[in-house]
Amino acid sequence: MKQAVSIVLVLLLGAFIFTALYFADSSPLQFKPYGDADLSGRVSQGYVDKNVTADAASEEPAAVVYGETKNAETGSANIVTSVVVNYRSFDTLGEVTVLFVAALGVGLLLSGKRRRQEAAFQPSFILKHGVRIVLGIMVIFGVYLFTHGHLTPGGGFSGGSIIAAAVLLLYVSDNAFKAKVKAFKIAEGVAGSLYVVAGLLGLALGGYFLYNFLPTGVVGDLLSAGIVPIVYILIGLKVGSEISGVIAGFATEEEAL
Amino acid sequence: MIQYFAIALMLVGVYGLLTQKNVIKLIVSLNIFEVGLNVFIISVGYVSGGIAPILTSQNNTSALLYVDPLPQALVLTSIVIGVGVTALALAFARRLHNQYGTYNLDEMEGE
Amino acid sequence: MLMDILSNPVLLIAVPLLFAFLAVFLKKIDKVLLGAAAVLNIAGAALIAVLYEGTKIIELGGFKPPFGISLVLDDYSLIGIVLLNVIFGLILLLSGKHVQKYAMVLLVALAALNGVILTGDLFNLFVFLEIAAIAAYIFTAMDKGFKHSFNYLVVGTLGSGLFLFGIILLYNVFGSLNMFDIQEKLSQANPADSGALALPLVMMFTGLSVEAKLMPFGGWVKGVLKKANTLVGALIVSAYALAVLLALGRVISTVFFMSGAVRIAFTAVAAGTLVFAEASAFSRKNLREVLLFSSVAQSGLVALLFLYGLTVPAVLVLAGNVVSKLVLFTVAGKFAHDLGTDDIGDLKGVFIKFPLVGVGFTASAMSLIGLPLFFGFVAKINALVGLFDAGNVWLPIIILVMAVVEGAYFVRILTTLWNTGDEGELSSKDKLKTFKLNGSAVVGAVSVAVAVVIVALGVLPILNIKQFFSVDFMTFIGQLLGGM
Repeated sequence: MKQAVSIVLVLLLGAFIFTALYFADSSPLQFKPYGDADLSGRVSQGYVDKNVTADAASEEPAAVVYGETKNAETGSANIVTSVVVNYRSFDTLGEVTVLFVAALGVGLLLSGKRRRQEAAFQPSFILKHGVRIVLGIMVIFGVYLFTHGHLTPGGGFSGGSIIAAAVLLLYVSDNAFKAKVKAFKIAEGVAGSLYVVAGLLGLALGGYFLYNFLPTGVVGDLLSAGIVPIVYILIGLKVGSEISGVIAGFATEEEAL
Repeated sequence: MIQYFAIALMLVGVYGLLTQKNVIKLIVSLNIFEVGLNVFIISVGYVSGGIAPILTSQNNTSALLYVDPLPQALVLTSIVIGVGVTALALAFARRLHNQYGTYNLDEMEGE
Repeated sequence: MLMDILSNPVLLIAVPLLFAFLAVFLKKIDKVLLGAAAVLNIAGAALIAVLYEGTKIIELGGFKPPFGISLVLDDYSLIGIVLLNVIFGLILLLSGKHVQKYAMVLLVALAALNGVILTGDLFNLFVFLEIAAIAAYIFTAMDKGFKHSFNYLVVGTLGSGLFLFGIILLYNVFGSLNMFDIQEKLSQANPADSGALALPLVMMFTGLSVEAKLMPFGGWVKGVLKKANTLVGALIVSAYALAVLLALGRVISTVFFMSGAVRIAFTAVAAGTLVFAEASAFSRKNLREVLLFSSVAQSGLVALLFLYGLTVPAVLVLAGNVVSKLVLFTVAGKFAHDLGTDDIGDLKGVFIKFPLVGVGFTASAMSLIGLPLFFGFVAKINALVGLFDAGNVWLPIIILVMAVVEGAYFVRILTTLWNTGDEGELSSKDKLKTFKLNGSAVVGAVSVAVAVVIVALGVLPILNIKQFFSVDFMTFIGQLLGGM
């Protein structure tokens, strides 16, 4: 009975969404179907052209050219990164805070006297030794992803998660392994504080919170984009230590009463 | 097409939330809903014929046709928020299981 | 220059956040950091209010809107941040001992609530709402009510997902996430096209109504608040209610381009919430349950006023409500915690023993009902006049009837709590002697101070009849604040 009602409700919701999106009369405010988006009508064109701070009245902006354009607005070759860590950096600060508070909640909920939770299986020889080989590569790859986040796909969040995955592998491969949770906490606190401090420095030096106060260099260089790579490295450290902390929280269990 | 698929996934997630009583299955339903939503967000940024919004030595000028970078940035935030909520929900599930010895919400007695 | 930096509203968000991150490795002084952040935020909000010179857009990262994220400091958000930070400080003052290990969570919540009020960007609003919500999932679990908090988490996450769905649909149409940019684009739109926006608006309203506690999506609030301690209860019914409803009002007044059917649906939700919650409150026996349903009812009323574009009355009703609720819920939670019960019958005559607390509670309750000489009256009369002016008859009637219901149950509560029983009936007086309230002096002093403010704000407008029916925002508020 309950399932029948739920199915009817969901189908009604689906019908509402589909008719509103795809079968309504056309009007200027109608949903634009897949692929029909026009960047010039969206704020995104400004991000691609890196001319957000220019006056609207100015002429057609010069195209940004990889390896040539100097001191462009954000200087990040990866346009998504320029949005994440520069144009909408405040959202990213909030996003880091979400992870922070969620990790905090996991710690508070699973607190108490802890001991390592035994896995249901004994790690095999291959798992144990394979992990030792892969571990270094994973950490290096994670670090690569967040140091090159302004040039290539990737960035602090993916890099940090890969480092946390390495920690997870350590837990899986060794039943006695216990990470130093305190070190994670300190890394997390320091990285988070430095992110806010970078924002406050921008406020003091440029008048805007999270202002990109360093020279942005040549688009495509490793040392370019001002504070973008610095912030992304901080995010990488923070995300890596936070997710590792969550994993450590779940991999231990309450002392039996 | 991909948008129909994304909306269908969201609806499946909502159906799961309405019918399931198991804590873990509820969390899975939430995740299905979120995945559908995230796919939909990315699809909103697609421009026919557009390429990934990264300047490289091949695609070396901003004058090319790129897909919209903003939804991709938004979806990153959305995914990370989803991860945080899921971790917290699993911690709740663990506490509930410790307290009641079951994952079924109906079998949890008392306040 | 220094003054410019110090009065930048972004500090209200950045400073608590910085302290939260610092508290991770300064764990021993996390409560000191929490107190310091609360005090600094009150000082910051006061400084911003003193230096306020009309609407200001605060660009973040130096990118002008709509490209970058911007905060908006105008009359509306100024009142919001001043009230929010003062309320947050009062909550900490009254319920500091419940903070325990949750100092960092509360720091994050403080930052997020300020962000919710200040932000001018839809997606940024989503992020801050989500931070605030996650903090709430965590501290509502403080009393081991994991089942209710989990329920809240599931509903809240679904709600914010729907809100995000609505935002992305709006982005698809307008190519922008800035509320004021969208508002400007809407101002050139043809009202006949408003039907095309029905889906995004329904999604956004549904999503926000979870956090704003509108029925039927606000059902989580009952389980979470029924047994809440003073800290959690006061935070949810006053600080969170204030920030979330202000955000709802901001979203409604900027991007809600409603067609007739959509407006009727939203109005029905808000009015239904008001009626249902007042009826539920009337039927309850526990003080905290009565208050939580009364809080839900007030959310419905405020949402109703926002939907009819009556921003000033809505803000007045909201402000009066959250200040009253802060006192009422703190007192109720205090009784439940120290006396072991918040059943109205068991607490008979308790105010005779604690007259200071009683005076504060009574004044707050009377303001909530909307009796003359109290601030709530000013707020409600503005709302009713506004609705009548808009040509509405049946909505004011509903609001008046509900005010009578509200008055009935509050009068019942007050007469019970002030009443020691008949002459010669010594038993109930003897029982009173065993009641012990820790720190009743602080609670009493604060509640009386709040009561004085409520009465002052209620009496002053009457002295100046000409301004009494004024709906002009700044003169009205300026007059109210000038009287303090």
